[in-house]
Amino acid sequence: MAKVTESQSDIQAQGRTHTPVTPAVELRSVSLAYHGHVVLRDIDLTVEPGEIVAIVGPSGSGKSSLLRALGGFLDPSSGSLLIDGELVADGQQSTPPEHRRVGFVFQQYALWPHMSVRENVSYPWRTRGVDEVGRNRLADELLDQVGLKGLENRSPSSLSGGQQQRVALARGLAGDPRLLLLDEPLSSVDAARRDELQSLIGDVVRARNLTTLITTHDQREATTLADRIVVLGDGAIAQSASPLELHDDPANGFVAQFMGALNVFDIEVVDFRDGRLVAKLLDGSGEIIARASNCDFDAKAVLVARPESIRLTSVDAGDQEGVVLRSVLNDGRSEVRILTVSGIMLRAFEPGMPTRVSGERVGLVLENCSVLKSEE
Amino acid sequence: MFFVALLLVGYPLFELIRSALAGPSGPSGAWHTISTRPVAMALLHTVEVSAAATILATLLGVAMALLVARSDLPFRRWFAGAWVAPLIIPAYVTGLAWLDAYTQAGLTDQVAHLSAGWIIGPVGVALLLGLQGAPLAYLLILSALSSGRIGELEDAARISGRTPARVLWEITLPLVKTAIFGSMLLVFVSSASDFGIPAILAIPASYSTVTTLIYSDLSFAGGTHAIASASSLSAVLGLLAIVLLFTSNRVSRTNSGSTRSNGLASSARPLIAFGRFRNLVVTGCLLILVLTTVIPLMALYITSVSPAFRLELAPSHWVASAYAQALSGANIAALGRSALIAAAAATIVATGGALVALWNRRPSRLATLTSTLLSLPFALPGSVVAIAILLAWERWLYGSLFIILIAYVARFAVIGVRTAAVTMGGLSDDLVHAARASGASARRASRDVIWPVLIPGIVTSFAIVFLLGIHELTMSSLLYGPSTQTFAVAVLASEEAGQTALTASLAMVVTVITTVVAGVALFARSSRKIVAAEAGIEVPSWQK
Repeated sequence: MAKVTESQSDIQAQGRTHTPVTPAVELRSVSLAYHGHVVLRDIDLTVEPGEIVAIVGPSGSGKSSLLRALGGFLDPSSGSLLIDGELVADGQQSTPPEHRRVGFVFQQYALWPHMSVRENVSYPWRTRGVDEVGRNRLADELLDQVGLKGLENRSPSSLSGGQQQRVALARGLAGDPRLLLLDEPLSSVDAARRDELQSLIGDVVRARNLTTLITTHDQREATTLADRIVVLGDGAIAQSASPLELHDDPANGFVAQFMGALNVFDIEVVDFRDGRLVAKLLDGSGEIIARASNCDFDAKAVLVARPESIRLTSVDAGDQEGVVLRSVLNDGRSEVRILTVSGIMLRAFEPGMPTRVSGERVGLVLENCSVLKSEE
Repeated sequence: MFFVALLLVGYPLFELIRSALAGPSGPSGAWHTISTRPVAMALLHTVEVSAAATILATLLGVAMALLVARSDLPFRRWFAGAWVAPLIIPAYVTGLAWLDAYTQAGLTDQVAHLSAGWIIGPVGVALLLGLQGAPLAYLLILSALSSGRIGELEDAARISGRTPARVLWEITLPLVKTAIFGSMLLVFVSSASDFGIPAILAIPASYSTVTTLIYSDLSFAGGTHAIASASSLSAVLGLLAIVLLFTSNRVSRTNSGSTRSNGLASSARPLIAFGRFRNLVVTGCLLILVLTTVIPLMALYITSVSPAFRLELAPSHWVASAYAQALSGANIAALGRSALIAAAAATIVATGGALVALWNRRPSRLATLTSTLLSLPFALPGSVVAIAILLAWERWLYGSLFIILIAYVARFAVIGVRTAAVTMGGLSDDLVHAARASGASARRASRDVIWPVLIPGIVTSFAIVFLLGIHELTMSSLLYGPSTQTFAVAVLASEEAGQTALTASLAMVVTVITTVVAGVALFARSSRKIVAAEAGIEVPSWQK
């Protein structure tokens, strides 16, 4: 946790020295209790104007509550919440949602069933007193941008899930919000439409330089879309960094696992010398040998061996020996499942088509591993 | 809101229990009342006809549901509607129509010298209650059969090598067993609480049931003893209804959570294939419809246009004098009164129900208690509710329209609450949140988003309550005063006075009005949500 606060203050310090602009969003030690449960604890977060931030975490991690607090649907119990430098909630007072000027896109679309597509999208301008001709023109423009030209007069329920979420996105962009919040916008859209919609979201918010916060439980979505990823676990920020940084230098096993690392082990360090780590697995399966640039621990830790950094060699050239269980095609490369002689399952990626055969004996070098602080 | 529910329901029921237990001679007096011979006979009779009706209704309901959902019967969709449609005709009208059709000097007697005098008496009562309960059982069993999961399980059994008949016996029926049991309890309760059919078919045969005994106690006997007797009887009937409905709820809860399809057999290979016998089965179904609905309604019409006391078959001799009488004087006043009370009750129930449902969105113990209280009178027999309201409000409101209005509102309140709750199910918090995020204040969000979503539901509950109000006989027959006869009471009075043609024309008027209202309501309901709401309501709504 010490590390997290460090990197937080780094960002803030940078913000102050280089670009003296008001942050688009600022959370100062925000905590939130809901129905007697603490769902957010002591969150510090600053989002720069135009930044796209993905908030990720397993369900129940508080990511949705964080977004709803920004939207004004939940009030923080303490701490302060600023949008464009303006205090909107501080644990006592809270600006109602209609005065925050934020766009919100809901997981289940939340389109009004008694209004047409155009009426849905033009509503944010209607509440702000734009006349009908004007707001219809603005709404039609937006609908064109999200690829729904020609469906303006349809009822939302006659559209597919993907189209409904496009309407919801257009409505979120309507009314010139200073901030766009998207709450798991892709989770109720079927897989085939998800990629399209994801790039559409990226395109429209980048074109507007609109500050965007998006929650998701899908790390791939976060990695491709966001400038920065905030990993939430149990209501607290586990790490906040760029996608690359999170991948290469996860703060702990939880983050590594969440970022999709396949080989994550709880270990007890036996020996570390010249970048060669000998460790025992805590689940009792056996010993593992890995290469890592540093290891600050002398007892329990978490070992992350990235599949793309596992080198398969001839039997005697490796640090340890294993048997190929099978190799399959995974996303255009070969995924090899290996059982080491000490009984540990590893997954490795190799370029090209899967050519390894079951039962093949290989040597294994686990390059470039990370040794992280154990969660306990 | 809670206070209103307390006045409408809590206080009257309290008065009923108090009067039943602590009447002039205390709890032992109540027991004494129940154990007297006329009361014991009425209880026995009620159980007798209700049990017979339940068996008949269940057999018919299962058969109808299987035909619609599992057979290749031609015109299934049409039959599905035709079997449920007679429900909109008030029970006492059905009773009158059967009298005109099948008794001595009735239509079939005149045409073919066939008459069935036994229709007046226990067999007729059981038969009509059974026919009235059948659509109820049919709807419940159909909804269980329509669960997509059961269809799959049947397919799995057939692909494992079972014949269709054995699949029906080993898979289908066991899986809808709870629905069948639940519908039996419901039909039993609705038969035991029915007043319209026994009023027409049991009273002339001096065959008393609990509801007719309550009616005659209050209408003809009078005095404190009669009130005490009626309230003890009501308490017994109410207790019976509550226990059975509670059991039925417990039973049907275990098989909830199924996905529904439209209920019609969709498989290209239905379980019941009639093949060559299709036309025979269609003819059989048509014959049943003709016998149970078409002939009685025809007879009712012919009676209404015949001169008094004589059935006239030749259209050239038909007269409209009965209609002139039905639509003038005291009768038209009663019709106006019925429409007024029904409309007032419908307005209060529809808007009040929406308010209660809105309040219930943020669950609180008081809101839940209010909803529970408001749903109680609908589960209770109409006679019980009427006696409770009478005991609570008689001293201030006796003989005024208000006491009938209070009874209607209390009894039908749940329709407004539940319809609004179902419509509100389509109104997720996020719809409101989306409006707020779009810049709408709380007040504006409710005007632009919440009310527009609720309005179809409000219209629907208005239509249902208005229809039930026009129908209503049981409560108004116990609560009316010298100048507050409702239309249904006028029909009953005319029947008791033996004015056949007038009675028939009055019954025709009610039938036409309810059909028109139901037609308009069907036409007006726009969203699918409302259909679901109505299906949920319709099930218990016919136990008048």
